[in-house]
Amino acid sequence: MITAGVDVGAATAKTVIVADGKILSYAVIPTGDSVARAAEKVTGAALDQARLSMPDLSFIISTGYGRNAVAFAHKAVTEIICHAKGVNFLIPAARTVIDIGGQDSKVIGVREDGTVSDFVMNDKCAAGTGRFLEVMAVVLGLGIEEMGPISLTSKEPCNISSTCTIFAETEMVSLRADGRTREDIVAGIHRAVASRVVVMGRTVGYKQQVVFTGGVAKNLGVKHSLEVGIGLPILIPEEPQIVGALGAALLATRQT
Amino acid sequence: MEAMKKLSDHLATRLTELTRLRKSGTKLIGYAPGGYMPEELVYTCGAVPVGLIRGGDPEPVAESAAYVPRFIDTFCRSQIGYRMMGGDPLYEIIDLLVVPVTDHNIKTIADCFNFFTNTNVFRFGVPHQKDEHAFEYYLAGLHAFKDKLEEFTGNKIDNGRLREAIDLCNRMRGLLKEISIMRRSERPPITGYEFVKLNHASFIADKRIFIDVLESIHQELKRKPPSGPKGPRILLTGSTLAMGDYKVLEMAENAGANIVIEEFAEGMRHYWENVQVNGDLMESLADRYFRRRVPPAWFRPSRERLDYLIELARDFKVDGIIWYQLMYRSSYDIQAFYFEKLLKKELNIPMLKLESDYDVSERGPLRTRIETFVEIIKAGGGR
Amino acid sequence: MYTELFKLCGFEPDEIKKERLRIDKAFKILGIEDEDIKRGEKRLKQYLDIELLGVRRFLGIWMRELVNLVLAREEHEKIVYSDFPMELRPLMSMMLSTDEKKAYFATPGQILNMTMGQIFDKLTPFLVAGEENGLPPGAAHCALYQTRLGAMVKGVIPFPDLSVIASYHCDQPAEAEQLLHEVYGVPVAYLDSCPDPNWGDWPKFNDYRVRYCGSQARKLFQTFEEVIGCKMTDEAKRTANKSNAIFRLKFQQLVELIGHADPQPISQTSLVHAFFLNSMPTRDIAGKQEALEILCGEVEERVNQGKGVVEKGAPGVFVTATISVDPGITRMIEQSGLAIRIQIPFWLSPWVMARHPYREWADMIGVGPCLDIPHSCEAHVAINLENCKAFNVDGAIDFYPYSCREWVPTVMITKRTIEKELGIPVLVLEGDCYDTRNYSAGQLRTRVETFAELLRAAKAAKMA
Repeated sequence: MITAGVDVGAATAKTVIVADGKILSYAVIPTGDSVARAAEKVTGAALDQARLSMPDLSFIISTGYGRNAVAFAHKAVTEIICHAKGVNFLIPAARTVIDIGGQDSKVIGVREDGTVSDFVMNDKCAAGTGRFLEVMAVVLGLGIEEMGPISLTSKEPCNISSTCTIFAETEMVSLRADGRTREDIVAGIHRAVASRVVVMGRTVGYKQQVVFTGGVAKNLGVKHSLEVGIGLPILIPEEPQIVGALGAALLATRQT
Repeated sequence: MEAMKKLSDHLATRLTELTRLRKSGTKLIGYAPGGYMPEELVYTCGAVPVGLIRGGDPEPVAESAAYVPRFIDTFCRSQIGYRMMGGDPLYEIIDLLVVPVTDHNIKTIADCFNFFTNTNVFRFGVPHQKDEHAFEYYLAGLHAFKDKLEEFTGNKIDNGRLREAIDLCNRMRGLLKEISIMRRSERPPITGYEFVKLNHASFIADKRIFIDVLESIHQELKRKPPSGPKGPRILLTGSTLAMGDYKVLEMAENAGANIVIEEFAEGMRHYWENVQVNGDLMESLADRYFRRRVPPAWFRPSRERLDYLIELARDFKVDGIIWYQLMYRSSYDIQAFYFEKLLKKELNIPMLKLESDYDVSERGPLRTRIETFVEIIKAGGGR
Repeated sequence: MYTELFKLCGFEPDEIKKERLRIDKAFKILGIEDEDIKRGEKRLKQYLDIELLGVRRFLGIWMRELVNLVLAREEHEKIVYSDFPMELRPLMSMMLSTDEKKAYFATPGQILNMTMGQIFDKLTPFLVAGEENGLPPGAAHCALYQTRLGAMVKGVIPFPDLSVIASYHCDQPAEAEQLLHEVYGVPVAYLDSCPDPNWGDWPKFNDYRVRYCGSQARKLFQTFEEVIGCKMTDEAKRTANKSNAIFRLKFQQLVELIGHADPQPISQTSLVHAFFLNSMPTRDIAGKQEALEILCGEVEERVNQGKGVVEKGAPGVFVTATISVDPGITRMIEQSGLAIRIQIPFWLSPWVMARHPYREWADMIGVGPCLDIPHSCEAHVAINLENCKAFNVDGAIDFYPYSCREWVPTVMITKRTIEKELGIPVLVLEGDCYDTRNYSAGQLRTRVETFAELLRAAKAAKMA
């Protein structure tokens, strides 16, 4: 049985194709302005890679913020459920998932079987999401991929305590004017993002293994700050972006 | 000032001293500010009262998010933050936390400590009106508090020692007031900032040492020739002026204004009235701490408070009022709306409403507002 | 043009004809147009079990009060306002001591919520007016009080001759009424108390609290007599107590019937109108009791037939905070496959039930209005726990109103307590019972669907 999971987020769309408990193929593209088109396109790309076509798929589950607009999906399941399942497949010892995306962040308690025990999410406020890092990168004139490595070179991270992204921008500008080094400011930004999420996740609680997923998971600076914040080591799956779609594809195999 | 040095030395070692006292069996009774808990009762049973009035830092506010959603007054949220962050030993060495319950924001402090810590908590209520029955209610609460103290410390509260404690506290309050009202003069010998720090120290310092310090300061200030700056005179009022939350004071004084009186739970409400001993001591306490206490925003009718503030403004000849409130303290927010109009009508002086959530990013905007306000007054505007 | 709508609200054609002039007038003042009426019909059919006569009858009671409210100044000599969370019995005692012509009693915030909010979804103009006149946005002011202030300021409803308000449940009502007094000159009478019970006191409360509340009630009645010019009668008090108790008992039975049934026989949205009649004074005592009897009968029939609005065997949840303005949220929870066994604060534990009927209500004020929740945070959490236990739920959803200072501190404590004591998951949703602008249905849906999935998996695992 071959199944697929389609995860349409605000920034990127992902499809993963699974058969016999193994990943056959996957694709990632920017969502653009049409959820429906992005879902078709990315699924097409994944099918091409696996040398399959749509009728070969027994069951398709959609997830993510655009999940209800994927016409060819058989069922829509929330990204929290899918993330838990996906992480459980990649790292069976996972018990806590920290997911930080472009627009939101979540902390998920995962059981041994990949089901969710508890969760908390923030989708109201940019602080504590990838957006925060993007805004700051622009102000500092850095590429987003440079941010993490630079932050790790800091010896004395700044304390950025504004709760609001907009105001943090101002705070950062004045830190620069005060002569603080670039790496200290960047490290401070990473600490700020991490601490927002860490505090939010306390109601769920952190149990090992703690796994970090989502677009921001590629940022080692945030990973480091999270580890400091929760006092536990953090694992990152090889392709953190596709975890949701993978989970959706795996859940689809249960549908017979 | 010699006396100020003595005080700061004392405060520097106060924590060690309190820890030592506790080890030797003295109970430390922490309390939430508001001015409704008579310290006298605590002294009489051999315990030491410690006011938990810290605030102004953003970290405990962020920390509190794990225990209570953000929609509660910032100062009240901070308290569980300080306790759980563990940075301030004062919060951990108290044996009992007393919370005189006025509104739901203060009550939150009690709920958080009750559930998330193993500190003992005792509450008694403060009604929102001043009629006979409300007085009876408050008095009954004081009696319940007295019983609790006796049970908790194992010491009986006898009238003789209570009388002594009343006299001691009266003396401290009297001195604080004497020093404070020196700011009525055209050239105040002490700045608002200096006075507030002094007042705040009274919540933690040893009473006798503190009274000595006050006596010295008082004498010294009396001898001092008029020298203070002659800037715009400001009445600062609001819900909470926490220990550590000095930004408004600093900014106003840097802009050239004189804060001549501050009407807060940690301000004049703490020392303005003395206990008048008249028959039953508990009733005399209730009379001072409830009936005659400077009215805060959650008393009805609110007209009493507004009239009081107008009188105070006249008495201190202020040129403007700064209304400083914390986020989500609804009673103050609503009053600010109609008070400003009333003030203009009665006194024809301007009012500046400021709000804080103890966030670092507020500094710039606060400074802009305060400086502009001071400039307006200097230019004779706002009248 | 509104015939269909009023039929959906349980009006007979004769009554519609008889009241046409009044309804026309009221709707004009309220600004209700054709498109609003169409929207209202649609919403009623979409969200409520509108085919049940009991539901329609309850809707009718609220619609009648809306018209009464708007026209009150010209139809009555004096007007007395109150609002949730005021204890109903003193209000009804005052009301029944006067005749209809003399005094009109209403809880305008509630009436506007149930009609302009829930039916027409046209509450925003009142909210904005309230925000502009003393209760600004960004400060988490209670939207119920923004609504009623806004409606008065806009001239849609009259200013009252007396406002009666409870200041023990929370701080907001009393302060908002102070504003009414200072700026608009409305006399206000308070029923004051302190939220000071100690942790460990519940379910007891101290004597002096009762004495104080008793004195408050006496003071209230005195003010009422002075301002309205009527004497309070003992008979009125007895009638108020008794009719309240009878209604409450029957409502309790209905709630238990629904909570123990599988599948869930009617949507919880259909209970809201009945429930809030526990705090809205209406002279139509017989009408409200009859509507309740009818609804009970209809629900019993559904239970016997095994008919329901949620799948049989669905996970059962306890949902806190009754959303009066947006039935869509409650429906969304049910449509995601969760049976709402009980909403808070609907159900009373046996201890509380033993005290409520026929007890002196001054005694009850000592404990708290409605349902003891405001006794203390401890009580609030304990009652939540009792409700979960009584209906053996699989999970709980705390949809907390972010601007409610009484509720907010209980949220995390409730979550931890229920999870620890009962081992069931609790979903916390930040929302607002009275203002739909303060949350996003889409965001709530993601969380609720995830929670539903989580509960289904847990239930399946338990069965296996």
